[in-house]
Amino acid sequence: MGRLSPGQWFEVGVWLAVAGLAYGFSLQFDRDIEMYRFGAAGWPRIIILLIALGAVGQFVQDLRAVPETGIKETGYFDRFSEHGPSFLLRMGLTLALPIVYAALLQGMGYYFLTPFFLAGYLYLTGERRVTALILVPLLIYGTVTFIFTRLLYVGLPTGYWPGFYDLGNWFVVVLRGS
Amino acid sequence: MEQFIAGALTLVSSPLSVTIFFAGLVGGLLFGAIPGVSMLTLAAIFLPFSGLLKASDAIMFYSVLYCSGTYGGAVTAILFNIPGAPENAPTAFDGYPMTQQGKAGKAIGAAVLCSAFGGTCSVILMMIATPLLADVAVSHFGPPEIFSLVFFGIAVASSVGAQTLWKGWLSVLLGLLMATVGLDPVAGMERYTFDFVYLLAGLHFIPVILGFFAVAEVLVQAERRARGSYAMPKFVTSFPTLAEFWKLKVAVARSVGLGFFSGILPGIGATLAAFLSYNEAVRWSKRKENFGKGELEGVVASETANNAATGAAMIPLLALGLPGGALTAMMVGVFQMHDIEPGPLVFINTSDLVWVVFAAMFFANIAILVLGFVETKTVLHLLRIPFQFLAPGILLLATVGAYAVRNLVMDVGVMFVAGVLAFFLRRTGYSIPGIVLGLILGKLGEQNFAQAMQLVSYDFVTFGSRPIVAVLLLASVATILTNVYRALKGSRKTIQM
Repeated sequence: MGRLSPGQWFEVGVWLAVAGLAYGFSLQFDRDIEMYRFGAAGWPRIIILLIALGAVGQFVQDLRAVPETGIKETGYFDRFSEHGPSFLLRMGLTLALPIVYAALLQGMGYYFLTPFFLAGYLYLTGERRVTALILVPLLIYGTVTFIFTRLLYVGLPTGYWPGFYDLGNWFVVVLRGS
Repeated sequence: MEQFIAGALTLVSSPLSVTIFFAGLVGGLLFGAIPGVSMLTLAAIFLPFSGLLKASDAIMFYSVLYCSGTYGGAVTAILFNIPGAPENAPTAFDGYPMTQQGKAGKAIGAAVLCSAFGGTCSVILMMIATPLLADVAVSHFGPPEIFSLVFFGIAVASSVGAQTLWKGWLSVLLGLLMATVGLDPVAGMERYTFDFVYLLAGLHFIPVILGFFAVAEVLVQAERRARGSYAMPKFVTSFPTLAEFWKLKVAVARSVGLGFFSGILPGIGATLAAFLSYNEAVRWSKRKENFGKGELEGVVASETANNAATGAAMIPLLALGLPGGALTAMMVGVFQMHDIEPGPLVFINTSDLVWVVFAAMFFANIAILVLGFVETKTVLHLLRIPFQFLAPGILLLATVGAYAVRNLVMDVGVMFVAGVLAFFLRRTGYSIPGIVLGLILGKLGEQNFAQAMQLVSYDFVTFGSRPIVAVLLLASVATILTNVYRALKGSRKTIQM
């Protein structure tokens, strides 16, 4: 049996951590239910046990599939090292930007934040022309916002931070004409 | 037959009825295709106004909307990996890879034809057998049978789309674990909520599905662009040939049966119908390895079944007054607004209304065929838009869709986190369809398991001795053993290599 790659160790570690944490948190609701013998924790714990077994099963299969000599570098995480720092930075930003957008959405509101998010994403997907970086987000934003705010009357987040709330509300009033 | 003709004549003789018919049809196609504002949104908006209409027109609007809305979500599932509704999720498994291979026309053509065919068959079966089927299905399918059906679905799903058997199981189990977040279905005890009010209702599956499909797809394509390996989908409008459909006749027939059967069962509906049908298509196919990579049969199985469930869902509603899902529940409300109690007496007291509804659903499915092909010819042009311009549009539509479900910014966050998670899971060989199925079936499975255990007083022998349960559990065990055998054979081959 050979050695597993760091990526394969990472994978099994993540699954066992998920199972361990889920079990740990299940202690918070491990209480009897009068009309149901297995309680609230019964069903999740069966799933957790099966996750742990599945992780071990995958680990054993990986171990059996490794050649006798050397490390088998086939995992996705192992291939990260093949790329330079600029690729890693670009991918990191590509993955982080939507989450940052979601985190700021409540406070800054949809109407102010969205054009910047769209332009940022356009830039990260490789667009470098300034006119495209300005016009494409505005076109997408304008169309979607008009359809949902004006035609479908869907109330999008206006934000609650001072200034942003007023701006968002002003936008809604202008769009709906009321 | 005379009753059907009379129903059809009543429908076409009134200009208002015809207008309402087309409003339901076009509304369903549009609202079904936009994530977040599903056919249920339109149904809810229309509910207050339905009291102003004749009872037959109001009920007809909802039944036509149900047919066209179920198909509508397939278009965005195929073109952009954004299922308009959960029942269209399995359509994306193979429909979107087909788009990437330049076969979007074939995939949408198949979806149109199969939705129309599945829906029409379902309506015909509904007209013939409503009273009989409703009685059989509802009286023989209790919690033990539904749990066994869910277990069977999970057993089959574990073999779909993952790199290894273990990764398939881990995917389904992750979905099941995610489904435990919220209140437990027996006593309403909080689980994994971390005192967070938002999590009390559990993870809503629309944001999660949008994250798993739409956001993850944008991230995967962005990575391809960063690596320099991105290829734009080819623009081809070729539709599937009759010969291609003829080859899939068994899959179509099986999907009609499964869809119809699932549709009759209250609470099961079109979503499970589509997943079960997809799983069965994988199970019986000789080209299992092609599923998830652009297999036409995957689209056919899913779209036939989800539309076949629509007519069937009317059976418990009309014959017993039992709604099977959100839209049929709204229909109960419409019945009550017009002082009609849905149930066996509907066929005696208001049989003309019932036959107008049957005729409208029949014509709606035929009309999907025509309108669907016209729609296909136009929406396919969206594929000409370069990815970097399309990606922000998809992200924005998904954002608004996730938010509009419950007006919660947290749902947008959940969607993006699910998208990033799905990006890594996809890249490491896990099955997104498996996770989604686990998430959708988890609550249903646990709830019915708990009820079943109470019903049989925790006696597993009594539980297993129910004939339908025994058959489904045996089929599940056989599926699991077959998959394990295949996995062992595969891993032995890997080691020998």
